[in-house]
Amino acid sequence: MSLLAVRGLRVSYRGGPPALAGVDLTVRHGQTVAVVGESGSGKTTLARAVLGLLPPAARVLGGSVEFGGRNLLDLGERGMRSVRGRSISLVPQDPTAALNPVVPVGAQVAEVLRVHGLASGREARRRAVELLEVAGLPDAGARARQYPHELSGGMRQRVLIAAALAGGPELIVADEPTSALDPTVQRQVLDHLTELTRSSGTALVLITHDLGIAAERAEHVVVMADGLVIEEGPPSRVLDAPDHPVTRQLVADAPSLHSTRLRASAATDEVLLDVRGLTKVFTGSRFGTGRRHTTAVEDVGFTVARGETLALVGESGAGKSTVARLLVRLEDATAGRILFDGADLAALRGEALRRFRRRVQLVFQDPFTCLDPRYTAHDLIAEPLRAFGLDASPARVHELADQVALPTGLLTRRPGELSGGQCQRVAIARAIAPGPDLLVCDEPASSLDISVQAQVLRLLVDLQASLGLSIVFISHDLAVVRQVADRVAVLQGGRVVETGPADQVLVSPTHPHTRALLSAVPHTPRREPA
Amino acid sequence: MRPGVVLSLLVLAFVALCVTVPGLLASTPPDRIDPLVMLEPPSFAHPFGTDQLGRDVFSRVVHGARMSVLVALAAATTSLVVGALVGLVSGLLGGWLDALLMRAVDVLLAFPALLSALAVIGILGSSPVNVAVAVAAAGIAPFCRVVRAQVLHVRTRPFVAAATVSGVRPTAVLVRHIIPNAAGPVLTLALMSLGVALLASSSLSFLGFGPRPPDADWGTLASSGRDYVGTAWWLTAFPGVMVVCTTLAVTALHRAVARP
Repeated sequence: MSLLAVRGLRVSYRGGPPALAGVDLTVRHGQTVAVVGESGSGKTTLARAVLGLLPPAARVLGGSVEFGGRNLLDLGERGMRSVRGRSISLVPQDPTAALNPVVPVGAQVAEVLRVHGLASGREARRRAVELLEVAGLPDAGARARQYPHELSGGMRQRVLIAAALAGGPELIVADEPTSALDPTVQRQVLDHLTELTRSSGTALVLITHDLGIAAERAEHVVVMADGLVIEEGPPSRVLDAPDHPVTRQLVADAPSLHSTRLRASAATDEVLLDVRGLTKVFTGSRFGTGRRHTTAVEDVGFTVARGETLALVGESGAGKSTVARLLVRLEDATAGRILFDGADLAALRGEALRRFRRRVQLVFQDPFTCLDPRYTAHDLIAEPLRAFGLDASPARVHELADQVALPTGLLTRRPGELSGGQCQRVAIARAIAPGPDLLVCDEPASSLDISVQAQVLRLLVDLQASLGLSIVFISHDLAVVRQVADRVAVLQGGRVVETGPADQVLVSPTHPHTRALLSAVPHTPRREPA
Repeated sequence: MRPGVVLSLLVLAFVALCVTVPGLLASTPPDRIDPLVMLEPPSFAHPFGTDQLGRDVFSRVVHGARMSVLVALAAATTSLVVGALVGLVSGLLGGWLDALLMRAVDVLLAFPALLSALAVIGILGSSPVNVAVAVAAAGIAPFCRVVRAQVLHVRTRPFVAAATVSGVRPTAVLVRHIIPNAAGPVLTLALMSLGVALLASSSLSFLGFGPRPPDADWGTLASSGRDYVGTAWWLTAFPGVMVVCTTLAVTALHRAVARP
């Protein structure tokens, strides 16, 4: 007998096209089901519908959500309140946004027990500490009295897992529970979550865009696209031998450690960029405590040859983005030298610095925020051309749009009217417009869907080949790095802990941190790109 | 559109007509003395009544709009321009200059706006121009704060760094990217500041620092009717109602614009 049975569920927002167009989903007692799909496929709408948390703009057009013999859609808000947290609970996506910043975390877990009448007063507090311990929060007794901002992202997600477990639910819905966390932390949190649900016999609906996570942890995988379930079955079947073309494309696009370089390397021996002893100390003043020094980057050295791709990898806070900003002189180094084509970057000032920027360009992480929302794609691509006094005619802008495979019909649109992938194409067109020798890419694809990420990565390697670019590629994702890098430098706490050819570092790492990063990459099925 | 916004726009359209073509609305000249109709209550011939010299109050209110509104507009625009410049300098340069300017703004904010305006009038002497200067000076501080905060926020947005990397010169980054993206809340504040300026300049005129007779704005009209408040309420009531209605209309419009 199934625990949850969604039948023919149809939901639309503001009378628009259906976000869910007749979805069926069955979850048995104690089963882990992964729902995978790209953004816009309806995964989150499905999760919200199950929890009765659809936003006001959404309208249920038909279908049913049967849970324990009742149709949840008929319960109404009052009825759902006794179900949520007690029978079905949620582990949300962003642990920072989901916790109340002015209430200690222990009290937030105890609240679940209190509202469902499971415990009160001192007993609730004691049980909350127990739950936090079970959820894997170290030193739970003391942590329970702390506020969310005093905990790391991984610890916050453990608090939310404790709150989800508090009511002893039969079903937990986890909506991208770890996509805001670092890969190594992601692995620990997921391990713990799946272990807890297994040992307590709780069913888990794991919503994710990451096929590796689905393949590793679920007994049943459901693939969604355009508001429909297009394929489902055991992970070994769905991901190793997919039937549906969309699933096949998803699997092919997902980078993994088995994937190979997207294009043969064109690296030369001529050194273009030579970084030695690079150090950056940020000095911030804090009221009452005087000046505080934070070393973001310490004694970092590497070289990049013409036509070569060097990947800088590490977790958040490792100093990757600071290195990127130092390379394009958005920040000035505290110590060390950056030699570009033999010239010292630190010596450049004013107009000389501006002219140097023609040769080194930066592609930012978030394509939406790095484009001024007030200008059209055409203006944005023409901007660097005008700034450097180059040919900024419509013909030249169209030529650049062609190079990044941006349909010229989109050039009249503003960033808000473009998709993430299209914005990143505009940003890349801006970067290659002045004809640079070196492209610094700061996580250029990490905020994009898997299929779009694959397109952007392919675009970058193709441009590298046709323009003879050198690339410094910054990423936390070793599977992506595998597809683009010639050499890899691993950063930890602002220092380079390991460096070498990609084949060597990613296959037989010597430093424990590199090994930890590698083991955190979920194992996607071994498949050659279709 | 909400009914409140429609009503506000109607009020402001009427005021705009008063300012541009007063003769069209009130055919009687505002300073024609008629001893036969002294202190008459509102009637069909004189919708707002007449004053102690038999002048038509409606005509005087309509013709007084120009002075009131122009002084308020001049004051609010001056506040905006000076405040925006100070805020830009403060936000862009930072350091000791920023600290100095912001402490000066703190001092300005510490006094009630009308009190600072009275102090400026006390130094400059009374005239409509000086009223505008005084009201403008009292209204600078909020603009400094808002512009500085906007600049500090916008300059950290990634597209500003992206423009710098794309070789855009610092002045062009300022003009093309920082100022347009910082302008929204500042212009919203300007609308509210217009209402405040109208109220403040009318108050100063009421206290006798405004235009000299026979010229009159709404503040001096209300003030000159003070002696007859017990017997001829229409002398003070109608100019006062105009100030209140216009200020309310501008403020309601500000709220509609400020709320997305």
